[in-house]
Amino acid sequence: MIIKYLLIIFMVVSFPAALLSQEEEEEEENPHIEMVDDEFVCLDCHTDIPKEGQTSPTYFLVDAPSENCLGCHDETQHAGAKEHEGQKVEVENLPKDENGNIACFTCHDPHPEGVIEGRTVYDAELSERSKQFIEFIVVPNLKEELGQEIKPEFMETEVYLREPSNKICVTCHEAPIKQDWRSHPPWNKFTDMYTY
Amino acid sequence: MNRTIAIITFSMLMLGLIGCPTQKTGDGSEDMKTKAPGDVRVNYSHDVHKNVMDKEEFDCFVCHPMNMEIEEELSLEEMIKISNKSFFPGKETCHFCHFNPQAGNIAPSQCDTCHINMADIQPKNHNFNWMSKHAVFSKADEESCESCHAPVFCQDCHKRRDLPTLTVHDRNFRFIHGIEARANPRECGNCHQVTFCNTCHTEGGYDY
Repeated sequence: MIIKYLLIIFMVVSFPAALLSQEEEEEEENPHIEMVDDEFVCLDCHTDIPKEGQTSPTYFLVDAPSENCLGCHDETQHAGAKEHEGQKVEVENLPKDENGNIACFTCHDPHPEGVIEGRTVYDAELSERSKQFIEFIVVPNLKEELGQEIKPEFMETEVYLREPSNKICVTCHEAPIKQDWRSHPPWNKFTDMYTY
Repeated sequence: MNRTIAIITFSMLMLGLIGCPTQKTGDGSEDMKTKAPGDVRVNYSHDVHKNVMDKEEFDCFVCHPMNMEIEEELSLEEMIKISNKSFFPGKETCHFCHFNPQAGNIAPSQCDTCHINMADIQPKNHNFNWMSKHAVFSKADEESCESCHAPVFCQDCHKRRDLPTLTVHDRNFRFIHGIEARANPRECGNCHQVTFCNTCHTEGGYDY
């Protein structure tokens, strides 16, 4: 009889403990965090751990550049990911895939700080004004347009950007558009439609 | 001969069934809805916007919100479509600076700054006879006019006195308006409030 009660008590105590340990285990499965202490995690993505000064156009990756990330991340991990991937990039200071196109690692450094000496990574921090604009102007409009419940995530930590968020965008998007849009036929007929 | 007639008849029948590709759907939605600018990238410059964005403390995410999350489980195709829609700025985002009648514009407000083809945003009912029938529409739905035009746009014609052309009233209307007002007072009320008459007739001491 006592054994039966002991068994019940053991199950009641051990079940939540088992759940907690499972959560901890899931957290530990993040290779980005793990690689800080365990260099063998490198082999999750790389075929070989490169020696100092050793380079390769494929970065010794197991899979095609962005495919490597898609093992864990979604193709639509964030809006704009799909629009950028595979685009030609002409700036020198950002890494590209072997064909000179944008891959996930062009903007994101998969290695957190401390893994590669002298390298710093950044979170996507937004100004208060931007947060308010997104919350009160962008989101209601998007909800209406998409017919979906959509919400902004303002705690964008561990996104490992190579530069602070605005700076990395203007690396490529700074250059003014060269096309002469004024060559389009004028619409004088509608001039008085201006709202002055 | 019979074969030719049969081919022509069949072609006409098929044309009737398929219809013209530009045929209206008939739900009325296409009459008022304006189109987005064809391709904003043609005349958009990040370089031009950079200074004002810095000054207003706006980040790139304001126009390109990459931080949107959706709770519902959707197919990859749908997610890509939503991701694309979220990534590029919508009408409200651009209009916040370029067309904001309530708060005032902090950026150029000419419609053709972005809408290069102004015909795209011209409502379908603004056709050849619009000048003579616009009054009915404007009285029925004033807000609809104000979604594109500022009030000064109406006043520029209706209250203008420096043109030789006829706008609303004859140039000597002030002297004869009493006759028309007595004949059909409702006509005045189409545009004027009673207070408009009272301003002169009570304060100015005019006899009714």
